[in-house]
Formats: sequence, structure tokens, C-alpha cells
Amino acid sequence: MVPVVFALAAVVAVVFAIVTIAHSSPVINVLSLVVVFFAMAAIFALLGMDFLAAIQIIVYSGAILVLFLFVIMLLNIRSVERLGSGRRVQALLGTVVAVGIGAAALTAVSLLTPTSGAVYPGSLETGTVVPIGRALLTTHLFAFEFITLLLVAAIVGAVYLARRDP
Amino acid sequence: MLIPSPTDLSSIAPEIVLAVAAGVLLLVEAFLPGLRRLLAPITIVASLIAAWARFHFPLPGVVWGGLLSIDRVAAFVDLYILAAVLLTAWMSGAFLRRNDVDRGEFYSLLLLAAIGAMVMAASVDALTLFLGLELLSIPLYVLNGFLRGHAISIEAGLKYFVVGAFASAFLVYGFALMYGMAGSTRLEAMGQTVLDGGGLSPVMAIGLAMVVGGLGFKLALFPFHAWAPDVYQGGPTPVTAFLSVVPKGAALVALLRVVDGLDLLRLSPHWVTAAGIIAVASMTLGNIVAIVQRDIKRMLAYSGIAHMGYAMVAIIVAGIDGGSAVLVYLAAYTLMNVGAFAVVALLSEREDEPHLISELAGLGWTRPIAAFALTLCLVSLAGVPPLIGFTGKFVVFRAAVNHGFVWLAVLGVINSLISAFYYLRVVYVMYMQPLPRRAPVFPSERSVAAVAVVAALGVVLLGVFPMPILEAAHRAILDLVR
Repeated sequence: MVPVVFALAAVVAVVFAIVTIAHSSPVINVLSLVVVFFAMAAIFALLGMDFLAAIQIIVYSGAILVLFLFVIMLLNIRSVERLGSGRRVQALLGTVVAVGIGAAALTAVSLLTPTSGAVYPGSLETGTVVPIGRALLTTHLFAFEFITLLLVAAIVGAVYLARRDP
Repeated sequence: MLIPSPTDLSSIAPEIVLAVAAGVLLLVEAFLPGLRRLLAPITIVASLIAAWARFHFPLPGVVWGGLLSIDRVAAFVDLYILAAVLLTAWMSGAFLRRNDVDRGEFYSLLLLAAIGAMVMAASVDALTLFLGLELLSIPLYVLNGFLRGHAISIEAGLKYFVVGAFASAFLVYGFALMYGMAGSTRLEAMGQTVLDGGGLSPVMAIGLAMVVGGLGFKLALFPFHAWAPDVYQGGPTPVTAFLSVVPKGAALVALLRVVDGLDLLRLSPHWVTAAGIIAVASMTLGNIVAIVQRDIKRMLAYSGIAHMGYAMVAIIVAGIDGGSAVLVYLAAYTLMNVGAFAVVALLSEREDEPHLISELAGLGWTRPIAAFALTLCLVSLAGVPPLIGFTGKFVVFRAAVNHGFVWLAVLGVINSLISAFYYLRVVYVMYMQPLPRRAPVFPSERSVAAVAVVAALGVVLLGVFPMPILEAAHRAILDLVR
């Protein structure tokens, strides 16, 4: 079951990552990026990282990509130049560098992966919300409460700067 | 399981007072706009109550499960942060009314920034240190751009924001690396890791360099200083006064805690070289570039860069002597700078134009009190006895000489001599040059002038009787250095 889900998520992630950089419409680029993030969240969940999976969806798919979408719609960009159009040398160099980084990453992963039981790292509890919630409400209680002031300051500042003059 | 104990809560009573006041100010702005005249007095009263709370409740040391250390160093720094808040709020009322932006958000953000600075200065944990820095920075981005009608103010806010985001990223990345090595966010645990390793490991050194860089941005130390002149010039002058003392004080104390926690002087031979170069380059660049400035706010910005270079000398010395020198220097610098900026706020016609030094010609005779207050502050910045600026420089250079950093002290003294030139030139323009035919019309606001007078009085009194502040700093630093 797990390998099937993993394969599905991995294929979806790679396909939509390609769409993200290759399609000429910025809106479709951003929406494909959402799909990539969801697929990656699925992979995180498979690894037992519930918290990371949830954060991936809430923060990246939810907040940051909505922001991207807003910017694109505000600027009213209809299409961007197709990948590699016009600049042949840069396209070639970019491809070489990208392939090189990919190869380096693959090598690093293959060197680092231990031979046995490597698919599910970490103990049962790390990566779930339990230790994080416990840390937030005990040892880091002050920092947790302190962030409220930070948010107040950010909201007050943003509202002041963005408000329309009467 | 940690539940906040009464000690935990009483130790942050000043912060709580300021946070409540920040909320009250917002509510007054929203629901009782007729009471706008009370905004500045509320802020002043809040800072006085917070200062009282700091003295009333005992200083328990490490609280909140090891995140904050409310010791005498924190109390010392809190006191001067609150003094800066009080003086800034006092001069802000008239200034904001003149520019038609007298709003509750200003004072509220001012108090929030002060809370951030206080938490940052008390932090013994990388996490709270970073959060304090953020709470200090975010309100200041907005405050610098508070004059929304003036492009120069918006430019200052935006520049400070972009640079500040960089600085935060540096700091977080550095702390992340150090956390990776130490396995804990406590500065003490990081220090223990360095001690166990018998010196800085490469990863730890990179992390530390990034932390120093992040704090260096806030201190406007060379090579992280480029934002300072533009931001000082463009921001509303009371904000500039606040910006020039509070973030620097908080960052210096944070740096002191990091340097002392890691015992860099003993464990890392390269630290002295690197920090020494930063200190000397900051002093020299600040002083030499300040000479050619025509705008007094830009001049004070470069002077600030130079002064942080002097303070860096005390950081390098570290230990009891260096630490207490940092505290004394901060107190001196706060008074002199706030006083100087108060006079600049008073003697400016329009906020979107440069504050030219040449416009001050002849003011020694038409505006004697303001001109004399500015003279005292500038002469003190130059380090002339018997003013507080001399005391500050004296303790810093004495500490450097006593601990074998004679070269730093010599370069510092040479720099002080250079700086006397541009400080005294302003005095020369005010007293020796004739009033121009079409003299600029400056507003006469009693509250702003009063701030300048109070600061100048402090400069003189603490300069003539430095013992209380020297002893307070010495006693405070004993809590930090073990």
C-alpha cells in the first residue's frame, strides 16, 4: 500500500513540477505548484511527519500560494515567455546546471541512505504534533505567547500603511 | 510541566504594562479620537509605570524555563529603553501634530518596539532573542514610513524593511547552524558545546559570524551600515532618535550575552581580529564620511556608525570591565543622541526636505536654549570632558588598555579627535555664522525643546557626577559575568 501511494505522489509531484515551470500561463503555473505541494505533503505524511504535512498544506498551499495568485491577478499577467525562448546559451547553461544539481542531490541521497530500514526515519513521536504542542505550551510558553504581540504589531502596521486617506 | 509561576509573571511586569498601554492607545485612537491630545501623556505614564514595576519587583535571574534572564543587566537596559521611549513620546506629540499624523498607532507601535527591545536584551535563548528582534524591527519599519505623504519617509521605511529582513534572515540562519551543533537553543548550551569542543568548530564559526552579521545590521556596524544614512534622513525625526538608540542598545547587550556565553575571547583567536577590524573600520568610515555630510541627520547617522565602533571595542574586551563599559557607553549615547535629535526635530521647517547644517546659521542667538542644548550634546558626542560622552569613551578605552588592546584604544582616540571636527563645525555654524537674509522659520514647541533640555541636563549632570552610573553598570554586569 505504502509504495503505491508513494509512487502515485511522486509521479504527480514530478509531472506538476514540470508543468509549473513549463506552462506559459502564470495562473496555471501557480495552480500546478499547489498540486506539487499537496503531493509533497502526502510524502511527508507517509514518512510519519504529520505536522510537516499539515504545515505544508496550511502555510504553503494555503497562504503563500494564495498570495502568489493575488499578485499575478493584480498585475494582470496573461502569459510569460516560453521556457528557453530566445536565449539559447542561457537555456543550455541552465539545463546543464539543473542536471548537475539533480545528479549531485541523487548521489548525496544514495550515499547517505543507510541500507536497512531507511524508509521511515525517526521515532514514532517526532514529527507529529504532540511534541511540538507540548514544547509550545511548556518550555517555550513565553515565546509562544510573545508571538501574539508580534502579530498585533504587524497587523497594526500593515493597516496603517495600507489604509486609504479619508 | 511548566506553569508560569508568580515570579515568572512579575519578572515581565514592565513588558505587560507596556503591552496593555499599547492596546489602550489603539482603542483610544479607534473609539475616542477626540482624546488624541492624551496619546503622548498615556505613553509617558506607561513608561513611568513600567520603570516603577522594574524596580518594585525583585530581579529573579533566569525565568520562563530558561528563555529570559531578568537580571540587573536587563534592568539597566530596560531603564534606558524606557527613558528613550519617554523622551521620544514627549517630543512626538508636537511633531506629529505639525505633520498632521497625530495617531494612536504611532505610540502603540513605539511601545511594542520597546517591548521587543527589552525582551531581546533579556534573552538567554536564541528563540526569544530572535522574536524580540522581530518585535523591535516590525514596528520600526512602519514608524520610519509613518509620514505617508512624504516620499522620503516611505523610502526610509522600505529601505529599513528590506535591510531588516536581510538581517533577520542572517540571524535565523546563524542560530539554526548553532542550534544544529549544540542541540539546544539556549546560549548557555551553545557555549558549553564550544567549551567541550575546545574552540569554535567551522559550522559554529559560520553560525556565529552570521549572528554577528545579523546584529551588526541593527547596530549599523561596517560593513552592514549602508542603510543608516538614508533611513536616518528620511524617517520622522522622533523615530530617528528612537531608532538610533534603542535597537542598538538591545543588539549590543544581546551581542554581549552571546560573546560572553561563548567565551570567545578565550576560545577563538580569530574573534578578536575579526571584531577588531569591524570596530576600527566602523569608527574610521563613520568619522571620515561624516565630515563631508551637509545634512545634519545624515551626519548623525555616520556619527552613530562610528560610536558603535567604539562600543564594539568594549564588546571585544568583554568580561567585567568591557561589559560595564558597554552599559555606561549605551547610557551616555542614549542621552546625547536623543538630545541632538530633539533639537533637529525642533529646528526643521519641512520633513521632506534635507535638514541642512547651513540652515542652522545664526541660531545660537535667535534660539539660544535649543542651540545650547544641541551644542552640549554634540560636544559630548565628541567626547569632551566633563560631559557624559567623555565618561563613556574613557571607560571603554581604559578597559581596552587594561586588557592589552592598546591598539584599539589608540585608534579610538585618534578617531575621537577626527570626530571633534564635524561636531564642532555645527557649533561654529550656529554661533559664528550670520543669520541668512531669508532665515527658515522654525516652529517653537515647548515640549520638544523640553526634551532637548532634559537630555542636555542629563549629559552634564551624569558627566560631572558619573559615579552612580558607573557603579550601577559595574553591579549589573556582575550578574552577567560569572
